[in-house]
Amino acid sequence: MNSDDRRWAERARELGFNQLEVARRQAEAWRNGLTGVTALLGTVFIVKGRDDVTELAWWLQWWIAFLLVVAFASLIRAIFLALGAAAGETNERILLTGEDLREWTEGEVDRVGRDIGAAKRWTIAGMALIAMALLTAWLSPTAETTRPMMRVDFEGGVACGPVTFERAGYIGVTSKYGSPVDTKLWVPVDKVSLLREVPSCP
Amino acid sequence: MTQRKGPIENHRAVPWAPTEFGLLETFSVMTDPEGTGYVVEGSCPTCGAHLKIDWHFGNPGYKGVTVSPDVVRPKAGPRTINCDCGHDHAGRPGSAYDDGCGASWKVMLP
Repeated sequence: MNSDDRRWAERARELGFNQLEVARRQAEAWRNGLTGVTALLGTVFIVKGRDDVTELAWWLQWWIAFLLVVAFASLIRAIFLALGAAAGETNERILLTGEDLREWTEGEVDRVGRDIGAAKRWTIAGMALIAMALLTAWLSPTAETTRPMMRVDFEGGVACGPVTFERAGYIGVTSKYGSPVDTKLWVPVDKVSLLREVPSCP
Repeated sequence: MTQRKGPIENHRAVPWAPTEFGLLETFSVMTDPEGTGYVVEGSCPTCGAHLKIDWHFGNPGYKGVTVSPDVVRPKAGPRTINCDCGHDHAGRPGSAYDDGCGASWKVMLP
């Protein structure tokens, strides 16, 4: 055994005792990196397209909101996993003997590795969902608003919205047009007393 | 882990030598009266020093924010003890991590 062999063997032996500190430092670096990557998302918004989703169809608005909520939850999960890996998940007290410390250290090193891997996956998932939400907002066509809004007064009351004449003898009025609860009302033509175009419906 | 040295008359000034004895039945392992750990007591098989060792529960390396500790109950099984009698033993290298005669052995934790 030459002096290099002895030195490497000594370094390997020391590393066995320091492996948790090494794993913690790696986790801290990952935690800082993931936090930085998440902060970078803010930069994306500088090169933004549409930032008002109210012009989109209601189901696209809900889809974007769903994507952003899941993305936010994914990123929070990733950050907590990275924090737990860097700082320790629980405040455990063990019997301070060599065997107990060794078993705890080996388990903790395994856990740090697993949690950092999971944190990376959650971060990638969160960023992918945000990208999907942004692309949906930027690239989706606006909701159909070319049909004029009509106010229809009839015997039973008043309805307002785009109208259709698909059924003979009836006028179809889509009230609360564009909202998730829009309803189409069929009014007999002979019951209509007034039909006029309005700029918007209440 | 805290070791308390026994009476000096038990001690033999043998030269330092790394020696492993395996499991020793001559050591007693008792639960601490306050329930905060274990007390291990017996004589070093090499230098004869009477050793009384307190094994406590402690934090092995947590940096988080929660403060209430979860005590991990230890599994029954052998635990290693190094002689830490605190006496000078001829030939002890500067790199030795023990403070005794170099002997080590195991006791059975119930």
